[in-house]
Amino acid sequence: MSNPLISLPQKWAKTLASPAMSVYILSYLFFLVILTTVLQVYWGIFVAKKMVMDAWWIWMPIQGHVLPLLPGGWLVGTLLLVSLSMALLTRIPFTVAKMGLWIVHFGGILLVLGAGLSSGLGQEAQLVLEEGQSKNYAQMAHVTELAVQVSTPKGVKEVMFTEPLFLKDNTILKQPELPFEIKVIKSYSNSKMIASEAEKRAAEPNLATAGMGTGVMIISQKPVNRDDYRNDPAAYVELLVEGQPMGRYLLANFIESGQMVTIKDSVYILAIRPKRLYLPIDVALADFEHKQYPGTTIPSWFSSKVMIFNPTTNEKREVTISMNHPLRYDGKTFYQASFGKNDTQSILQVVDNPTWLMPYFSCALIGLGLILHFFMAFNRAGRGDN
Amino acid sequence: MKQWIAVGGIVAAVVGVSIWGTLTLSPKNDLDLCKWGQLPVMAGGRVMPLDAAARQSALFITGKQYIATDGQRMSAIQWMALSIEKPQVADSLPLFTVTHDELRSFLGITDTMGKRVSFSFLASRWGVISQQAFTASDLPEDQRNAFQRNLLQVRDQMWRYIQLKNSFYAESVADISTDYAFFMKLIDNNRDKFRALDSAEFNGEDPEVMSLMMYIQKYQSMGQISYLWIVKDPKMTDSRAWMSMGQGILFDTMRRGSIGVARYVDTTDALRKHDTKRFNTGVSALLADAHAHPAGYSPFRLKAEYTFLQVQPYMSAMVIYLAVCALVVAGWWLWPLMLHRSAAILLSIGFGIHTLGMLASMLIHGRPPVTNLYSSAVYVGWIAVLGGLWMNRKLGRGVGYLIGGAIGFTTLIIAHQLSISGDTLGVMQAVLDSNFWLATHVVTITTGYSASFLAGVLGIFALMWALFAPKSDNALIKKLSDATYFMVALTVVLSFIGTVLGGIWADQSWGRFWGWDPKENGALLIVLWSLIVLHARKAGIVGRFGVATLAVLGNIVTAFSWFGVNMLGIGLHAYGFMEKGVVWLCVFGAVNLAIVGVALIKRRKIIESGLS
Repeated sequence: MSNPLISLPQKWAKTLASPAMSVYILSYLFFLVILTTVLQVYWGIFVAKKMVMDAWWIWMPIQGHVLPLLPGGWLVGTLLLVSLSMALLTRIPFTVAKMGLWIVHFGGILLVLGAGLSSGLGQEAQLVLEEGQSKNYAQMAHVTELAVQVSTPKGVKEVMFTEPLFLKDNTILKQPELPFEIKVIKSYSNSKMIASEAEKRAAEPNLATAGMGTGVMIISQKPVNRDDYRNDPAAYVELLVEGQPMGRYLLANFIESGQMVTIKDSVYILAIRPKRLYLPIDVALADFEHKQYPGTTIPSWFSSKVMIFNPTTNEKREVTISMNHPLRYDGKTFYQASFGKNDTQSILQVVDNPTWLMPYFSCALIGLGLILHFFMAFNRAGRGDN
Repeated sequence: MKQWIAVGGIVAAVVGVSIWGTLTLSPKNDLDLCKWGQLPVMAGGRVMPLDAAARQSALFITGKQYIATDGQRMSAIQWMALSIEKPQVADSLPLFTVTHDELRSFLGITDTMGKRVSFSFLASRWGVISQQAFTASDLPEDQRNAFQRNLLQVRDQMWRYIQLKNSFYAESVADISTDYAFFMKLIDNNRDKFRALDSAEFNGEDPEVMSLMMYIQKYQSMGQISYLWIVKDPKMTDSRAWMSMGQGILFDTMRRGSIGVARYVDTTDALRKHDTKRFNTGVSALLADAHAHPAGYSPFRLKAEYTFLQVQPYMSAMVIYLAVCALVVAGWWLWPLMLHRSAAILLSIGFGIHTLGMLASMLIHGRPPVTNLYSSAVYVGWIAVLGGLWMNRKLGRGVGYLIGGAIGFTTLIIAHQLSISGDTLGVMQAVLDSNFWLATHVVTITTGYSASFLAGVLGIFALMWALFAPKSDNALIKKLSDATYFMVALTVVLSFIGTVLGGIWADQSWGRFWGWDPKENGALLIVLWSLIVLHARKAGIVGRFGVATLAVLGNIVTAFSWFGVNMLGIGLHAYGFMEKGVVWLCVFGAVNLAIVGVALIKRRKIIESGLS
């Protein structure tokens, strides 16, 4: 035991496994949860979650530098995972009397692991459908991508660059599938088209030399972080074929059709758009139904009747998605989230979470262990053993 | 023996006061307003007795279930009758509270006029009020200033009053029956011209047609402004049978008596003319007829709701709980046995009334006990009283009764405040419309709130007893401390299971188990806090003193989770934003912090007294 090289890790292990360690970790987690909750007021749930919980570090701008200010959710989760595992291995005895406690902590490991996995692997997007419309993708309201559609003999292919890749001036984007490079000349995190004479004065210089962008003027806007607001990024890009400029185009979130270009006799469509989550099925909205309690605007019921079609299996059937009754298909969950356009538009939330079963499993274990331990411990205390 | 007589006397006196004090004075009136109050009406999306709608409106406008002006006090239903019988008198009652200084001067309210002004006064400023309200309501809720918020509140209250009146008659009409008969005749005489309304033959200058158009417009707007839909189509059996009186009049005049709106017109007319006999027979007939063919409601539940409103069980329970607290404290100095026995019996009676009230609400609503913030407050109190009764067996000295009584009283006060915002048995939003999850997730989480508050209050008692009890009472302090720890542990179990059930519900309906939504975070905070307390004790970081102090801070965590997150006004769970609540929440937090502060300053004395 005198060898410090052996005793030091042991000491660390003991510290990590100690209940004191868990107090510190849980206290910090408590602080992070409050932080996430309060920041939501200013940034909305999406950004607050991404900044605090779904991150190793919480990055904050301080005097122009963005610095890792505090440990984020993933780091604390990892620490908690290690501490729980150590406690289970070294401290909590695997005996009948402590069985409840053992199960609780084992379930805790699975719970934290599941939370981390779902935070890292889970994806959420919205499927906005009007009656009669069919789509095979959902869109993420708060993430943007620069997509290039390539027409090939086998069909249409897409090459995507996710933000903030294309939101940095003078970046050159390239992919082996593309015979050209995309150089970002000037980018905007949020922008809008000018709508009046007065706004013209604030307009950005138009850098476009080709395409629709030549006739449009935009204003740069401050990016807004709110759940009910979508930023509209835009960028002036230059296409380069073997270093030769082939024209400058304006790409923007609000130009939904994208920008068509012909290079070496092939047609490409470039667009900045909300990031797409492609679905294994085509979803068509047949009918949206929205009922209210008589004489009020309180919704009593809303549901979407959709036709789903799986092109690989040719499965085709009708499904009704309603409040508390989502559709689960191929690991993706479609639930009724909202509606619009005078009840002719339905908004479905699409969630892809491969680890969705883990919380069920871990929580069942913890619940069981808690009840077991609670009754055993206080029964002993009641009998006067303690 | 003597002692039991005294106990009996105390119990009888308190129960008597609690019932007498909460009874609304029965309307001294030759009009049968009791029966009128039992008539089913459609309001806020559900069918309720007219009395309930009247009380809710009185609450909404004045903050009380009855109408109290300088000289007189009347029940809500009497007030409603007055607004039909003598609108000018009802309009001139000073009911609308305007306290915001800028708003007062904007409306020209002088100091001599007092806090409350009448509808007639405000109506003379309706133009400027609605103009300002128009700009204010365009802003998002969190960007309105105090002036605008107060103005909108007054506007909404006025609008409710206008809507109430229009539920029964069109405002410009003096003689309701004659006006209706005239409209009928007018349309009968001009049926052909009326049919030609859309065609080229329509003659816009024909005086009869013009007058007809005005009548149609008048009753159309009356129908649109109605808060209550009092007319029921006898041929229909679901909630679609209900319509406003304006709609009913148009419906019937166009088709000649298919709904029988004449009966409603006649009853209102009788009330306006104070024709007692005609009113009473009319109301009886309407009530009998409604219950013979109920539409969208059950007559049994409707009667139960009417009875519930007359009895006001939570008010009685509140008075009893307050008396329990007083008796326990008094018993520490005087006649402990007698006073604490009375407290025990009274708390049990209060608990019984509380239970009956909750059962009745569940029956009327057809839902599990907790469906909204209001009922969660009632339920948290109920569990706490149960816990207090049970704990006193171990703690003694009436401490359990005091804890139960204090939490029961406080939560019922909170419930009463929450009831002002609207229908306590209201319809459920689509996303919450699941009795299974309301019965499991919501009930477990809410029981967890109770456990956490019990832990916090036990913590306060442990600290304060150690600090202030004249002679140190080690045994009781140890018991209080053990009970605190037990309740923290129970909070972990209940809050964790409740949170997980919520996660499963969220996964079922929103496709994700966890989304860092404020209400979810709130529940997690309670779990984490309790876990911190347990592990800190286990690690030896804190002792009995520390556990008690942390449990008191747990009160703040729980209150934040229960109410605070709703006040942030964001997320999927934000179904009730309360402005005044923020202040009270801060007061609650400050009180708990103050207790912790005192405990920390007097730490040595508390530990020496046995809380070590």
